[in-house]
Amino acid sequence: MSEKACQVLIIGGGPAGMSAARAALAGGAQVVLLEAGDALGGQFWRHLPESRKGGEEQVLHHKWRHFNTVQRELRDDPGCEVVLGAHVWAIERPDGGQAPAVHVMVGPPDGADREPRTYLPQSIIFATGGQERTLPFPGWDLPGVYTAGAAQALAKGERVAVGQRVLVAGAGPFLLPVVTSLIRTGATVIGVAEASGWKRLAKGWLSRPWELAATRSKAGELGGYLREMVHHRVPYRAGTTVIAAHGEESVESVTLARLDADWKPVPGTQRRVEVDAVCVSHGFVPRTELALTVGCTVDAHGFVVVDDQQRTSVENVFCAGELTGIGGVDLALAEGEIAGATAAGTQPRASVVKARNVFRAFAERLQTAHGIRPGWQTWPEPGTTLCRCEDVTVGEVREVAAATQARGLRSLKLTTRAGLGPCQGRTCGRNTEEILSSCGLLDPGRTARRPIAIPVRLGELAATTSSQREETP
Amino acid sequence: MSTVDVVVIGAGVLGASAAYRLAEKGFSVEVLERGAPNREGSGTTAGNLHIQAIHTRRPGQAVPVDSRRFLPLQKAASDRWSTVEAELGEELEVRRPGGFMVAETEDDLDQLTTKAVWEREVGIKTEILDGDTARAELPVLGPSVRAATWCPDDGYANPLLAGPAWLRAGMRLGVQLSPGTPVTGLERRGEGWEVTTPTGTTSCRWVVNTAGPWIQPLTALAGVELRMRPVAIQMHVTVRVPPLLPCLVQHIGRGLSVKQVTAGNVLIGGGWPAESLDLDARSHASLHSMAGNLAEAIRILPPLSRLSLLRMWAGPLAATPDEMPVIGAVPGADGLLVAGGTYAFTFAPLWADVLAAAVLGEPSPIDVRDLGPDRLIMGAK
Ligand SMILES: Cc1cc2nc3c(=O)[nH]c(=O)nc-3n(C[C@H](O)[C@H](O)[C@H](O)COP(=O)(O)OP(=O)(O)OC[C@H]3O[C@@H](n4cnc5c(N)ncnc54)[C@H](O)[C@@H]3O)c2cc1C
Repeated sequence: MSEKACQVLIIGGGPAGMSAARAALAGGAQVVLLEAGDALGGQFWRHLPESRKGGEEQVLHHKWRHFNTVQRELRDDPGCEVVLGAHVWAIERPDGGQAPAVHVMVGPPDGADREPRTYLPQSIIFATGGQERTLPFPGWDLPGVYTAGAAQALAKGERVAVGQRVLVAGAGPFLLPVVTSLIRTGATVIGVAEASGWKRLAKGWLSRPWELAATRSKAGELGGYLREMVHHRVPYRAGTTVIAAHGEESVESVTLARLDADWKPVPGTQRRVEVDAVCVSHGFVPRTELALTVGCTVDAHGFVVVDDQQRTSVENVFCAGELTGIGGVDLALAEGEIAGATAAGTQPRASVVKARNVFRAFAERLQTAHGIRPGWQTWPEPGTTLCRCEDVTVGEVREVAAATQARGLRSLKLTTRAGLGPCQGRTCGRNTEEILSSCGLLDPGRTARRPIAIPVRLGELAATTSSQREETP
Repeated sequence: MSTVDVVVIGAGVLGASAAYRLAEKGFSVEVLERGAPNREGSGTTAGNLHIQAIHTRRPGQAVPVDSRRFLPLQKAASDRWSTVEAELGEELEVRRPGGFMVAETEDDLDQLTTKAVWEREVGIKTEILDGDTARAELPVLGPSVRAATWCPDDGYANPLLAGPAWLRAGMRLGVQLSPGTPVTGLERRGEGWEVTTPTGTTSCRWVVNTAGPWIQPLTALAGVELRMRPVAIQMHVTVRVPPLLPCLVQHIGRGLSVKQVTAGNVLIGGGWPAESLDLDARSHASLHSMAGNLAEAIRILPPLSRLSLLRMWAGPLAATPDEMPVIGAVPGADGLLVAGGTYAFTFAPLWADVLAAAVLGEPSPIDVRDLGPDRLIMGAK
């Protein structure tokens, strides 16, 4: 196995990671950028196909050009090694001031000959991003219920509409571009249900409006989506959500209900609506498994805590992008640049620090306006699936928590098997944690803490040692 | 201040089974547990019921296990486990699919034949098979296996069910369980003991110290220094796969034990050392041990090579300097008993009987006089 020392190792090749790489290079550092996919760009830029037809917003074109420029710069810089198909499976903690060892398998996940590599970086920047969070409700696992991200990927990548009468539900501005994409594939979007009520939306978005002026591009982007919705007469309902999906083979209708400020359904407000597809997205969760492995402190929402220079609680470990809070591509770019510059031992540009602060305030507004409220826990019924991989229901988990003395997250997981499947709780982890913490656990812990970050074949793992047989008989 | 007959320290599988047995004998019992029950050794264990002789050394273990001394205890534990589920009225997923103990080298072969003789002496059924016969029985065995013993009594139980079931059964008989309640003081008072925790004091006639890796600091609270050598070892588990391995597979000379659980995951262990033992938090599994353990596993069971590893974890283990269990009364501290040591999952129902007999002043169901804590007292030989 090859071991390589390097100055700055960046994990994650989305906007935050690319921006970090560029800034670290500008600061004179030698950089390695690891990306698991087969291209740079991450979730945001992957979703922007190169030539798009029809009146795209200027702002998106601008971002695409920026992406191409940065990608070219990184490729051409001899101080930068970009490794695609790089799957980080473990990080050994730094002890005694030593450099941490970052273990990587390079190659396609199911390919036969992946190459094991170990990097020994002076600094690590985590830019591993976030993923959509879908809250469970009866019927959420029916065919025809899509995560908003999956629906958008189908619409943009394959140009496939997920249905003809589609309802979009959940929380946050990310619902809007989904609507736009759906409309462009010819689907009829019969409405958008935003779980947060007008009061919260106003508190988040309308307070201190002068601050929003600084986030013009962001506001412009959202404005574009809104204009398109209005143009297609898509009704937008605040304080409403889908609390159940019904159907035999696939979804045929949904129950909509008005929600109170805590996202609890208001009695008597339920009504059935016929649909043939639903797209749901209730927010994002950061992918913190690697950051947690090296011991980074996280806040109550599970985001990694960073200081003004994007430093985590662990020396020489930085985080940028959605790991530190969900704030969109502009925040990710700014945070990446600050982390990269600092990791290279230079001062970040004052203008970027300012931009970061502005977009962070934007992220806080997002949380104020759309953050998930605990009332969602009243939506599932006992038979509602919580963990899809292992087919565990909400009722089973609550029953085990109530009936046994297994009062720790780990033993509850092991007893119920929630979060133990191939995705290792990436999808259901936060939902499980929240359900369990309302059952009064002694030891809630976090589902993302894992010494092995991703499943790797035994043969590959065994080969990482020279498998010297120890001396004992 | 409350008063009970017996305070049990630690709600691992030993504390749970002892509390149940004592309550059943009519004693009032309180179990004081530092954190959450069944979370340390007993919640991280492989849960194997080791009936045929075990491999005598964990990787890195300095002193070998005295297998000949272990075997009568294993035989008694095997008999005890056959009634546990009926006694508790609960399903603990006790399975006895049997197990192979494989040998690769000349030295392994010697050990295998010697231990088979000892097994016969105590009435444990084992059969020696040559490599090809073993492969005919279990085709997933690799070509390096030269011989194996087969023991039909080897098996496992679900460790996440066993400890909690003993606790529940005890609580039905009046056992009080106090989780989140660390014992901070043990004071001799008249005929008995005063046990202090941050939330109060309990007075009792007997104290049973089943604090696993923490046996030493707790006995020290009573003024007795025991020499213990706690370690942390680790386990590895693969994704769920269709049935592949119908029984246990272990290695006589190396750290390896493998089984496939009902859910379909393959569990791989063998006593490989974790990165370090952290008695204040969770110990971390070591990548080096992982690679070593998995290399053994795929050499003995080559088809495992293409399975993916899902998780690994480490757990603490109360080992003694001579690698033998410790059970019995602490000399010079009347009414203080300890029980612990390796393989305590297998021994849990047996040790509960031994402890209850000691409290009752009745003869022990099995001779354990040589396994008492006296041999571990500082200054003693
Ligand atoms: C990875 C692993 C695999 C294993 N595999 C097997 C196997 O296959 N078969 C087998 O037979 N054995 C196996 N063992 C060994 C066996 O699991 C353990 O020996 C057994 O579970 C120990 O049980 P215990 O009750 O003695 O200790 P523990 O389960 O460790 O319980 C001790 C308890 O004491 C509590 N405590 C500590 N200090 C205090 C205090 N001051 N006040 C109150 N409470 C306190 C702790 O919190 C803990 O809950 C394995 C062990 C490990 C770690």
